Formats: sequence, structure tokens, C-alpha cells
Amino acid sequence: MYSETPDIVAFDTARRLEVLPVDQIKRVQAGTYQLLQEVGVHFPSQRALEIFADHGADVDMTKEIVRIPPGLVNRAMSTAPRSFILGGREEQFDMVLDGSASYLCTDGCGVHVVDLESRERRPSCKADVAMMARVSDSLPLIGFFWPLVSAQDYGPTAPLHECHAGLTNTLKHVRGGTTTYAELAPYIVEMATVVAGSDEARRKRPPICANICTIAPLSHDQDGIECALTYAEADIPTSFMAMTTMASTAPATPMGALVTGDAEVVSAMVLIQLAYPGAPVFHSVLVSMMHPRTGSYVSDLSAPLGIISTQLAHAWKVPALTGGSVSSDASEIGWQSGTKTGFGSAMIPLAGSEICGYLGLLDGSMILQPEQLLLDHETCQHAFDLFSDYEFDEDDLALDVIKAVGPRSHFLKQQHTRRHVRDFRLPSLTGQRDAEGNLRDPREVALEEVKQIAENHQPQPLSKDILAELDHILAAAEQEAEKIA
Amino acid sequence: MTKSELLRKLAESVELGEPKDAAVLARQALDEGLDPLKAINEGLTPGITRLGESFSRGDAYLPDLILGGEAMKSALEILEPAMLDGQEREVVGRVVLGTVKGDLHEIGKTLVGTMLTANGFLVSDAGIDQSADDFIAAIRETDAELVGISALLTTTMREQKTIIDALKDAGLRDQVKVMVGGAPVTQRWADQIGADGYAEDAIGAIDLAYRLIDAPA
Repeated sequence: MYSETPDIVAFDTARRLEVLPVDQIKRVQAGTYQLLQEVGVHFPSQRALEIFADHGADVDMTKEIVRIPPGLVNRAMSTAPRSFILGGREEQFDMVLDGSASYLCTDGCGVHVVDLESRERRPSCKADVAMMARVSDSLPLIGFFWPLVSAQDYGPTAPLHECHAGLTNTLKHVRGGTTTYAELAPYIVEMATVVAGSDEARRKRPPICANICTIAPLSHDQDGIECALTYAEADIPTSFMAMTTMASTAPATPMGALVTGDAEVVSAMVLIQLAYPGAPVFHSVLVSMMHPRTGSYVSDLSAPLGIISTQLAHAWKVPALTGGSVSSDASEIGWQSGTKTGFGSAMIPLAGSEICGYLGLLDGSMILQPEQLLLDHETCQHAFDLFSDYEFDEDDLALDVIKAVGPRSHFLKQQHTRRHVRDFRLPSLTGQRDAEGNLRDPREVALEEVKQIAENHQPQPLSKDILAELDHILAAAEQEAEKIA
Repeated sequence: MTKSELLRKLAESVELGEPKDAAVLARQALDEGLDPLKAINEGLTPGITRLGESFSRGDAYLPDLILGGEAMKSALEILEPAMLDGQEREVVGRVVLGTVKGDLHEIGKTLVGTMLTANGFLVSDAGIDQSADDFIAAIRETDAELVGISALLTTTMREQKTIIDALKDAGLRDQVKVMVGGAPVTQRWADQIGADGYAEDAIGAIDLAYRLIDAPA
């Protein structure tokens, strides 16, 4: 027997805000065109440099700098699809990225775990990825499983094991591709093909997507960019994520950081479109700030940058992976993390990014405290309820019932009350009382709940044949990794 | 400009973080026959000290320190070659910093280097993507008593252990104290690989550096 995976619940984007008017978004894009043409971007990959050179970009092969004229940017970006599917194991778990819905993803990719049982902080491992995939599988608002932590017990093949742990423990879409040795990327594609069932099925409904981080300012990683080319050839959707940090890897101004990140992301998307026209790509710029006194990473910023970043993605006519984020810089569950989760979740429908949320991690996406995923999910559920369409009928207005009860009575014995009292969703983690009648700390309730899910939620397994094939692919990848080492 | 005015302006150029002004003033100091060591000790050093104090009070921020460090560096590049044989400026300690092989992260290491410089350490920045051999060569060249090894990736932090082991093999482990840092690094990891210390951020790294070389902060 296996557990049922609930249908995915997505946010409607009808309430999307446009923080910047169209002409100002165009001004930012004009800045990107200017940076791409005049400054250029570092591509330390012979393969990438040759692709750009073949298509008429100004390529300095020695310095590995590519300058891209606006006409070439436009020509390349015109082939990027505005919408595509991120496939689940079954069609009911597919996500259509067309701008009409925002799907929530888990956060990634941390390196520390507060152990569910011992409560000690320790390095993350593959079993943590698998456990969190099963927990995510049980949560309806999670549409997209991003391995929350790294499978550090597997060294250089960790990214493949993170992908494997995702594919084998949830029916939802998995962010299975990331930067690894370029020689290992084909093994990730193979895993996707095996789970999809065929090359054609993988192209149509890819069960994994990939995320490749750029290097701010205006650079790319060799393995990252070559992995992205491999993924694109296989039609595995790839997000390019710029994590520009104000005052260190980007100007100290939000718009300066946004335009730097935009230029990085667009340069990568142009490469992919030149090499494989029509390959699915999405745009991701996440702006943070260097703490001006400690130098540490600050992502809890009070500015609508996720909304502007989404506007930019859509101006380039590609889906966005940005928007509202509940991921917090807090190192512990408490007031700071709660505040961020609250504001971040309310931003989700306002930004309208196709993929957003980033649930489950603390300390700038470094630490997994498993119960945080449930606390984040609960808060996002509040945001979902708050921003859902609100309709009512005569029965809801209940004038007949109010007339029947009249002044100075109560509604407890009304059939109408009994019929409707369950309509209103009450939070499951707050308002719980212990045996003595005292209100319980929601963190304790969430911890109890996550333990229960981790123990009992067992999504439908892949067939034995597929599991065996995946093991075979992993074994071959291990051999390849040894050769590389 | 009198010599005392020159010294005051040199100090100001560092305190205000003006590298071009600092270089012009350093050349002017030499042209006017000022002892380069005096220009350093009575011009640059009071400037960087005041900047450090301003940072400690919370008035100056990291970019102020970085630019102050750049100003100091641009003046030192002119003044140090002009020092007489046997002259040596006083330093709190000699430090080699670098990011491990396979890792291109630079900013954290550079911040630590700037703050150490502002605190009177002589910092030799070995750069990014540095092998154990590179670290060993830099330590030998500078006669450093402290080495800071940075790694920002879970896949590269193992190199910190490789370098510590190589220091042992090279017979240098007793000469240098080792501090490690980087986003995935923890005190537990530092203990596990036999480092002498770990700090979470650049400010912590300064306290740690003072402690490791047993100098008064």
C-alpha cells in the first residue's frame, strides 16, 4: 500500500501587481542590452564561445568575454518559449508555466540539518533529501520539489543522488539538474528519460528541470554552462539564477543589482537559444545584500524586488522563478523567520512568478529544520486563503437563519450552522491545546506532524525495473566521477 | 605643504578611502625627502587606525574599510620600495589568505584580508583556486605565522583538510596557525580537520587572528 499524493494547489495570478510601469521595465532591459553589448559576459567554455562566435557575437577567445549585440539578443530570445510544462510523474502533477498560476517550490540547497530525532545540527545527507521529498509529496501547496539539502555523503556525484532521491520519493516535479561536472550531466538526462518513459515523453513532460547559478558580476561557471547546454539539448527546462548581492557582487542599489543579474541571465538564455532554439528556459534574479558591517548574506529585504524581477522575466517573454519568498535569514525558528514567512507568502500572489515560495530552509537557505517546511506551508495556506476569490450566495448571507434566531439568542442549534461550520479552514498548527488545556507551541505541533509524515507518507514507488535502471545509471556515473577525479 | 601637513593628508587619504590621493601624496612625500618609514608610521598607520576605530564604533562600513585598505595599498606600493635596507614596518602578524583549489569565491577572503590589514596585519593574498602547494609556497615566501583558508562549497571544503595535511607533510604545521572559513564551514568541521580556529564572519576572523598569534587585540 502506498500513500496518496494530493493534487497540487496553485496560486492564481490574477492579483499580480506591476510595481514598475512598462517604460521603466524597458529602461532596465535597455541597460541589459547595453551591458551585453559594451561590457560583455565571461563564458569560460570553449563550446559556449564557439556557439556565440558562429552566430556573430563579438567574442574575445583569450579573455573568454562575449559581447552580444541587441539584434542577436532579440533574435535568440524570440525562440524562447513563453510557456512550457514541468512534468510530474503523472499528468495530474504537471505544472503549466504560462503565467496564469504560481506554483510553490521547496527551498534549496542547504548543507546543514537539525536532525529530526537528536535535534543536533549535522551535515546533510541523501536520506534527508529523500525524507523531505516524501514530506513535500504530502503537502498540496508544494508543486515542485527542489532538493532542500545536499547529499553530502556522495561527494562529487551528490547532485545525481539528490535528483535520484527526489525522483524516487515524490510524484511531483523535481529540480534534478544542477551544476555538476559537465561529464555527469548526461547521467541526469538519462535518469529523467527513464522516469519519463521515453525520449519523446521526457521532451514533452520533463520530470525534472535544472537550475544553473550565474556568477555575479557578469560571469558563468564552465561546468554550469556546459551542463545547461546538455540539459537544453534534451529539452530539460533550465532556470538561470543570478544571485546578485548589493554592495559586493553588484552595485549597492537594487536596480543596479537587478540589471546586473538580468544581463547574466539573459546572456545564458541567449546562448541556449542559439544552440537549441526553442529549448525551455526560465529567468531568475534573486537580489540580496551584503551586510555592510559583517559582510554576511542578507536576503530579508524590504523591497518589492521579487515583483520587479518577475516583471523583467515576463518582459523577456519567459517564465519566472523568483517572486514571493518565505526563505529567511533567521538561523532559528522564531519571530524573524515568522515575519519573513508572513510577508513572503503574501508576496506570492502579488508577484505572480510561475515558480516561487522556497519553503523549508533557514539561515539564508543553509539550514534545514524539517518542521519549518510545515510552518511555511501553513503560512502560505493563509496567504492562499486570503487572496482567493471570495464569492457568496444567499445561503452564505444567511438572512433567513438570522431572522429565525433573532436578537439575544445563538446559532449553535441551527442546521445551517452544522452545515457550514466546517467550511472555514482553521489553521492546523496553531490553536492546539495540550492535555492540561494550555495552548501548544506551533513549532512543537509542526515537529510532531513532520515526524508523523516522514514515518507514514510513502508515495507510490517507481516500478522495480525503473528503480533498477536508475541504480544502474548511478553506478555508471560513480565510475565516470572516479575517472574525472 | 609642510611635512606635518603631508603626514596629516596621507592619514586622511586612508581614513577617507581615496587611493588616488594616497598615491599622489606618497610620491609627493618622497619628492620632498620625507623618510618613507615615517610616512608609513606617522601618516598611513594613524589613518588606518582611525578608520578601524570608526568601524568599531559602527560609523564606518565594510566598503569604507575596503577603500581605506586600497588607499593604504596604493601608498605602500610607492613608499615601501623606497625604504632603506634594514628598515621594516611594524606589523601585528604576517598572514597568508587564499581560497582552495576548485573554488572561485573571492569576496569573503578579501573582506577578511582588508580587515586584517586595517588591524595592522601584513596580509599576503594568495588568491582563489589555490592548491596546497600554492599555500605552502606563499607561507614560505612571506614567513607567515597565520594562514586563512577559505572554501564556499561543500564540494571544495575538503580541500581545507588537504592543505592542513600538506602543511604537516611540509613541516610547516608548527610554524603556522590555521584558520578556516566559508559558508558551509562550521566549528565542528574545523575541529574535525585539525584547524586551529573558525570564525563565522570577517569580524570574528579578526578576533580569531589576534587570539591565534597571541597578540593583544
